[in-house]
Amino acid sequence: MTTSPSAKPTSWTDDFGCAWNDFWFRPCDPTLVSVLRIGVGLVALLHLASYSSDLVRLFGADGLLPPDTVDALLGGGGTYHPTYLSFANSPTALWICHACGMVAALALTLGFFSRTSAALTALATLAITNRAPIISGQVEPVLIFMLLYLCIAPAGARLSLDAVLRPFVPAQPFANFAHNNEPSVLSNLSLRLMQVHFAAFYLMTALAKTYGDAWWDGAAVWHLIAQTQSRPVDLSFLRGNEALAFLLNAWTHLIAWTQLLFPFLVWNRFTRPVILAAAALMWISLLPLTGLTSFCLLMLVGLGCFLPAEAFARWHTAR
Amino acid sequence: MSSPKPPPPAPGSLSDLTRSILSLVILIHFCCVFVVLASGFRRSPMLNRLVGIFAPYTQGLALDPGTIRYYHTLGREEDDDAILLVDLYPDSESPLAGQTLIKTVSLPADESRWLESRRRYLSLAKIIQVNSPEGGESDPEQQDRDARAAEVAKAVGRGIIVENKLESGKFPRAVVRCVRRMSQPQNLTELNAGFPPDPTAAAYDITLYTADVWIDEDGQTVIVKRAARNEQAPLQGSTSSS
Repeated sequence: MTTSPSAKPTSWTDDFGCAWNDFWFRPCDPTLVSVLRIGVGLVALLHLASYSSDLVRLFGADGLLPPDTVDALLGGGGTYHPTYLSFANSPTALWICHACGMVAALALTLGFFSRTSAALTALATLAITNRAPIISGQVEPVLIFMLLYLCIAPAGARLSLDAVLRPFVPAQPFANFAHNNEPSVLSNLSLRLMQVHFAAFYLMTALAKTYGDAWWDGAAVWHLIAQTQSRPVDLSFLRGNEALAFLLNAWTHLIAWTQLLFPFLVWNRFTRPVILAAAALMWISLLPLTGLTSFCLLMLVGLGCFLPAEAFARWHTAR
Repeated sequence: MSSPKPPPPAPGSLSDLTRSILSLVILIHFCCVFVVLASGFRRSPMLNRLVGIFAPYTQGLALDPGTIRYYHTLGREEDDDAILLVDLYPDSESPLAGQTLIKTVSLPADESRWLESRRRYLSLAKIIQVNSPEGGESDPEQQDRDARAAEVAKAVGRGIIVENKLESGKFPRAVVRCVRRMSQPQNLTELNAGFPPDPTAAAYDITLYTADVWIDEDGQTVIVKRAARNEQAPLQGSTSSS
């Protein structure tokens, strides 16, 4: 695993070492991680903002979810959900913490002190997630790992305030402004971490679906449409006739099979465009079924980490 | 005789030692991540043990999806939507008989269906829904499930009571209900008698759980779960908290 990328392979271990190093440690252009930073920052901002209307109602001292209740529901002291919000009991303290998190997410989106703002946004998202994991949704685990991996990358190197301000600010002690335009190992490392994590994540979501009948017999999409409290759009007209029933079956199979095949097909350069297109279609189609806006948007953003970094570099150079 | 010198690393690349350390960190990290992702739906005893070992890392960083429903639906009854309804009555110290309903608070209410805030209330109701009685007294896990449902009902009831403090300075009394809305079959001809075509009609609502919640003179929250057929009986003695 320590073989230099340029060393000549002499055995399968050397082959594996070279492939490993090439996969994880080959420098790549930071434009793609910069684009991802904007997408993840926007979703983080949307996610944190969605707490604003209910912040005190949920987490206030007399709120619906006092820390004692959450602890009891989590099974007492056997879990690890550290959060500074447990100590913020007053509405003012809650709002200050929340506002700081939103400012950090905005700074991340704009690319201002990108690494620091990514870390602070991750901290704020973690704090609000760990404050009440019992009401965590699908988006939180994905958002947090994306933010953590963005902390590694020079995500402010392009399309950012950091890049605009770089000529006017000395590199030290403002290390966040020191991103240069050269290909970076950390860009590639960050992208690879996202890719592997996403592949495992897709497999998990697909395997969870295999437990029930609904994703096998093609009825799952109808079950989602039939939920009158959670569906954002009434699509029940789709049960009209046999052809539409087949459409619902096909829709169900598209979702299940795309998630199942994604972790295998996304690594091959010939099948990657097909599976990425299918996955994009799938997440867009899940949005009106579930109303999981942040989650579906984030999964769409996440598909970006599988796009070729070189193409983004060429695009940025051509600008 | 000296071995040939390795070529110098390319500009911007990492030293061998740094790559080795990072490789080890990546392996350990993904070992933890794969274990928690592989045990997202059901956990074998071995996976349960490993998840416990990795918990300080994976739970602390919210990498463990736990029981989050990434399958969205499996077509079961418990995958139907459920909401919480809190009925408020003016006098917390008297029985409900003879009291007039002040108002009913719905959770969720009129939040946008495209935003997460609505889903959080549905998640709260889902906790009661999946822990509502199924196995009866013979179910050994029923007491634990009852306790979880009661914990949510008590917290929600207290929160809504405090939020709706009366002008007289007194706290109202609450009745917390978890209502599941049955989903319609895809083919309307399969509808049972008594169920209208409108999927939001009251006939589709089933009350899964009802509990009386009030704040006593000591400021403690008291919850009494209602048993079937409207018989009122304390679950395990009334529970209370400040």
